[in-house]
Amino acid sequence: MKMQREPTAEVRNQAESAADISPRTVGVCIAGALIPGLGHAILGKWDRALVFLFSIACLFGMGLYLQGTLFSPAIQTVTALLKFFADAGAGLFYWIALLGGLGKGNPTSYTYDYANVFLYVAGLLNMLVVMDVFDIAMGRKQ
Amino acid sequence: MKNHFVLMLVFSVCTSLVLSFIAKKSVKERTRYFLSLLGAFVVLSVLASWLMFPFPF
Repeated sequence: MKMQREPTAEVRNQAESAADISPRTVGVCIAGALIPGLGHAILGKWDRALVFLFSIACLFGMGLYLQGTLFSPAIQTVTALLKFFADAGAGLFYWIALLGGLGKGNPTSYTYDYANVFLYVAGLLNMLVVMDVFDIAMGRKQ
Repeated sequence: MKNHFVLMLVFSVCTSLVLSFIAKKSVKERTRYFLSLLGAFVVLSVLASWLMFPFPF
């Protein structure tokens, strides 16, 4: 006979907090995903908002300046898919640059590999920033 | 700007800033964490490049 275990307190808390996700929380997460730091600015965390915007914009801009490639959603391989996700994490910066014809990339450039790392990290850091704003909006963090 | 060391410094400063603001709360904690991360980035990068120097590729 199969025994059904009672959910632990941690599992119950997770289920309860999943039900507590308000439209405002979703809104600040989307805002933060579109423009780095905007979610924090909406929540009144101006110091963090400015640092995130400056740092991620700087990384992204340097990546473009150093002739890195922006990987488009036209995915050929698994690695291209991962690179696209990393790049697209930068939100509107990525889409504006891509639709503006920037980020064609120049593989013969001396700084090509560096540039790509700048672009990937800008997107990945913005994903971390969105998780941070989610925690703040949920009241788990100040 | 094509100097690899300067580019590594720019990368390290931006990344360390974001991580220190995410991970720590007070100014003192953030400053310490930022300097530790920046130092680790710079020292480990120089060390890794020095170790890779004899490689033919």
